[in-house]
Amino acid sequence: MKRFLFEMVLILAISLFLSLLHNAVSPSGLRILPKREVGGQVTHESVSPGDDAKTGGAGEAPEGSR
Amino acid sequence: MTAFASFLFRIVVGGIFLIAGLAKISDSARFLLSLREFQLFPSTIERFLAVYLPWLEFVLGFFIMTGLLYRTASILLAVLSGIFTLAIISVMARGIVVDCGCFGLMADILKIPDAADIKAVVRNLIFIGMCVYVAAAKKSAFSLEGFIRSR
Repeated sequence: MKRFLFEMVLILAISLFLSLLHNAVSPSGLRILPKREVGGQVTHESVSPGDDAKTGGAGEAPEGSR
Repeated sequence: MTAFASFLFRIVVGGIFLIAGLAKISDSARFLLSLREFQLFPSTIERFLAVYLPWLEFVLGFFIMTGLLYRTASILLAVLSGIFTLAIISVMARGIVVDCGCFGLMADILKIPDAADIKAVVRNLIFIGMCVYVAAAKKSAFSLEGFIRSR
């Protein structure tokens, strides 16, 4: 039982490490934290350019800038 | 015979999840959209799962295929498939028609049916059966774990 728990935690931890590493180095990586404070304003971070295009979501350009 | 059947199931299940994981890793934004369609989690958790689950599938598939920590990996994969099955049943019960997102890009490339329907549930139940067999089998042929122990 102890061995099973150890192996389970090891596998989950390896996956977590790889996923966070890949997300950090990948230019199209998703932002896990949804909001970030920039210059005193809270802004939504984009998921990725592709995702924003599909969802019309957080990364869209503001109205006046088009 | 049991050892060879276990090896065969390891290759099938491990290979499928390894490839499915890779397909989702290469397009995590698409997987995030699939997760959103399920309407099960808040946005922050969806983002985390979209990053984490493909890698978990990949790592589990890798361990099962190579035969390293394969018993634990197959139990985890059975649990993961069970959770996927419950999620699919929940969208079916709510009458939401969605792609299950199980194979990511591979579904388009190989023209695999990827809808969250009864076929996906049956497919997942078969995967669960294979995983349980691998975990319960006393021996598995051509496993890295067996090779290390024999030396």
